[in-house]
Amino acid sequence: MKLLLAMVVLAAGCYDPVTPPPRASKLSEDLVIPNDHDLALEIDEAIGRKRRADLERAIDAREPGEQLEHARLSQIALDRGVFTLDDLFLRGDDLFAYSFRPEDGLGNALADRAGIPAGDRPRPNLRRVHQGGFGGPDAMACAECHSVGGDDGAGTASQVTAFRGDGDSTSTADLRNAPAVLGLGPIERLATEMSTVLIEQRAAALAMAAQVGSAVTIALRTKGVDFGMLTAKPDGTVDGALVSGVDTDLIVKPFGWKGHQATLRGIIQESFRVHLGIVSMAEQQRARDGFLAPGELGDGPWFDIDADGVTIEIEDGMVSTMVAYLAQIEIPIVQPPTDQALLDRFGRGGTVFTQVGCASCHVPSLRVIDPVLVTRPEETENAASAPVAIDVARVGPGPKIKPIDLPGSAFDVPLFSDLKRHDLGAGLAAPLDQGAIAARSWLTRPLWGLADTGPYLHDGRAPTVDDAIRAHGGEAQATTDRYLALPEQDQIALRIYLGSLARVRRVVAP
Amino acid sequence: MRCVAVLVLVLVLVLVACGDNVTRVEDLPACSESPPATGLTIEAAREAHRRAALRQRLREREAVEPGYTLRATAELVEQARIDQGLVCPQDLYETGRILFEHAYSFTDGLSRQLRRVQTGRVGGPETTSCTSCHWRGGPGGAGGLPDATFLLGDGDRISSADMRNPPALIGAGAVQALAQEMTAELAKLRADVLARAPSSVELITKGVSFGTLRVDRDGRVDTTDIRGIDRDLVIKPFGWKGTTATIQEFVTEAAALHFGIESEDAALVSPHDPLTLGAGPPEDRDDDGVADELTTGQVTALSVYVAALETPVMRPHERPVDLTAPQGPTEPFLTDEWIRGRELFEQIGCASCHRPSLPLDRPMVAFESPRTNHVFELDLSRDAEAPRLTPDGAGYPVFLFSDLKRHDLGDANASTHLQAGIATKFYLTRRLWGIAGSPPYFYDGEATTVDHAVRRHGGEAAAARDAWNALSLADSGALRIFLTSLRREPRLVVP
Repeated sequence: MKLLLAMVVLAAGCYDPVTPPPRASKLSEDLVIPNDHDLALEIDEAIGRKRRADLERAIDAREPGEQLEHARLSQIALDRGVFTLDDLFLRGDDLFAYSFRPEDGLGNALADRAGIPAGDRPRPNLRRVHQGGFGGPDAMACAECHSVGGDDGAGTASQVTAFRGDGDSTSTADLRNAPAVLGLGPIERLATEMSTVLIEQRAAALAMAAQVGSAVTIALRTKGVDFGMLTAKPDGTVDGALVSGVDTDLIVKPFGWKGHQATLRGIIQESFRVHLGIVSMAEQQRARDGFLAPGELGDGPWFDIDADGVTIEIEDGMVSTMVAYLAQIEIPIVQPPTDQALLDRFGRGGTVFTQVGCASCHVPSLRVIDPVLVTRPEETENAASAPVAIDVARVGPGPKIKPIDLPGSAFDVPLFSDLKRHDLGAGLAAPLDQGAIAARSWLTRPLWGLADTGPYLHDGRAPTVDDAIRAHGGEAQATTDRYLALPEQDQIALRIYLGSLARVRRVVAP
Repeated sequence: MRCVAVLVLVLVLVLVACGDNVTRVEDLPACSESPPATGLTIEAAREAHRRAALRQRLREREAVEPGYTLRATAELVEQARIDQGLVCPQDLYETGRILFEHAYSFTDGLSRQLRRVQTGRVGGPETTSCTSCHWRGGPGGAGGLPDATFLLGDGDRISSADMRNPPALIGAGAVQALAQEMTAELAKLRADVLARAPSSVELITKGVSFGTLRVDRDGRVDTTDIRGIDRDLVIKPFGWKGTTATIQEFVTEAAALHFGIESEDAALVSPHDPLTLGAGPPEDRDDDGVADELTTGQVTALSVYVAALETPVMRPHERPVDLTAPQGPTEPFLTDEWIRGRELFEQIGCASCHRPSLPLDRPMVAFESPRTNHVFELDLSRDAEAPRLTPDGAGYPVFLFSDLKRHDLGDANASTHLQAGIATKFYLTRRLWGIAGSPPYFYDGEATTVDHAVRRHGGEAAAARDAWNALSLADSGALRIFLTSLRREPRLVVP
């Protein structure tokens, strides 16, 4: 412990040779340790969670299946209206940590089925390298790839997923570094509001084109972010050739490194399917109704399309539970250095961040007007069910996004992203295009929480922030060049600034 | 007294870190005898926050001066000073912990090209930190399925390699201590039988039989009938196949294979199964421009940290009296089933290989300096994290649930490659302590639950497996209830 203190002193202790080392008295434990009252609350919370998890495990040992049974809520249960968002949070937290089993629907029994790229192994047919779009499964629990920096954190280099490969060879795959899942509720809300504005702009342009009888070209812009130009024609069609950083449907999709999923509901179902081989009932219904190509999920009967004998792997109620959980998770914070000399450098780093141009894509903050995220069931029989509404500024554990004024007319989301895709150059290109998204195109990665999420970049190739900056090319090349041209002290200041983008420290009992 | 030590260290470090000429301090006061605070107390919570703050400080230092952590810790734990007895166990532990949590960078000597599938004995590297694959359930824990490593492959194809599930490291110190004593006893049996040639002896140590060793009248040793151990009669308790004898070898090998971080003594370890080091000069064999990426002293510190990790416990179940206030008082839960499960574990034959406990005479782990052969000993009953080994009168029982012997698990479990000359169907009996919090299971991590793992046992374990499968629901429940009581003592950490 004393050595620890010594290392703290030491780590704080030396800067420029001209600066004298600070006195030990300047290092106050108050700055790094919460007060006893808060600490006692943290401990209670940690112990409570641990005891619940241990109890669930013991009960499940007596009767396998109990643990999952307790954690999942069906849509019928949600429809009773007695479960609070707190209840959903607790259950979602359990589901996030739970290791799914073949008997829960993990994986598939599609070995060697003609025309199905599921692989050739017995159930659950695990594959560390994905087979095309079919996926793995390559994991058993969400938490297995979100462990860095604590629960709901990022993935490590060993956890990098190998998408869209040949099922065996890592060099054929498109590698992806699991991002942290903090602050996703506010991000979905931002994206939804941005999409709404862009679609309104398109509608207005179409109306004007019809009125004036000739093509009308408008600039697409929302929340201060430019998405190129759109030409509306009097015949009601649009030319989206100059739309930039968003698909021509003008729906901002903030999830996935490429920005291919618009909602938590979407990314949750995709992740369960490709990583765990757990297919949602809504997806099975889409296959039944012809919205998915036959064979894309398997060739079993529609209600057990992956042929593993488990028909209801996840249904609407469980997806909504996961959405409610993820939407309520805390947002990251800024954790400035605790001593004065580094604090000055941190301040300088913030200035450099803007000056060299990082902030033009990694926009420090966007504002959301309505913080209520609404998620709706998708299965046909649940059409009449009420949606779940989550006020991401108020519910769930803090810290939360903060109102910009007393009445709360808007909320600051300090995410460090413009939620737009950019060309990052050939050096960072994926091995292949992803649908309509070019290989070199990536969504601006939100940087909040950065310090606790290494390694960096889409495939985890950058062990440090410095490595990550240097790898930026394409639209970011000029900014990278300016960073490289900075005096060393300014590069250091920028790295200290980025290192302050962290998450709240609290005790847990793992 | 202790404060002085701290001050001296701070001084040394600050001077080193600032690049001034260092005035070497030649002596340190006596070591503190208090191991770090663990458990669920407010002091443990403070300690956890201090550690998190230290991590941030080190991160800030790395931002100022890339490579700082490795340089500063190298100064803290010079092997020459460890050999002279000048470095406290506590300081080795703390330094080792920093190195365990450190994310290695290119400046540190991390290989430029990560490869998820390893290439022969060159390795990956596949990741950047120890905690990358040892995180589950707390510090030094196991990995998840995605963390599984792919050993001895072609650097690309999953199917070319042997998949290995990262095991938890907790309890490693006690395991090495047991292995040391068993190896010493086997060496003595061997020496005795050689002295009585022609003769034979049954190789029994700590109640585990490793077969029969014969010596003919010419003094030639016949190892045909030895079982579950290499011909050198050295117990190698680390690695799924039992390939590594000491934590130091394990650390050296792991750093090289998983990060491409070559320690100063990488060429000296694992003589029976050498790493493929590069063709560069001796101090930089991987030729990446970074010499002596980990010093001998740093490897010792990392090894001391791993050895001093807590010991898993057998902790029967409890439940909160008031489920709405789970942090409050608790009461025993499933006690009868737990007792029944413990009996069944013996009755159906699990315990014949997964020995519930082995007796340790001395709670000491030895760390040998590879160049000077000087031995530093760590007292696990005093200097390790709690819970630590406690005496029972006769010695220190280690509740590891293993016999530290290799067994045939059947054709279905044969590995692709011959690893360190060990027959492909053979695996070391996996220690079951701490099993509750560390799915997935089995050497490849493809078993989601203990039941799935049991079903995959074949070969020598086929009869016990069949007996498990034939149990009534109530009995298999009791067995699982017993096994889920093999866990870690709860503790507080700031991740």
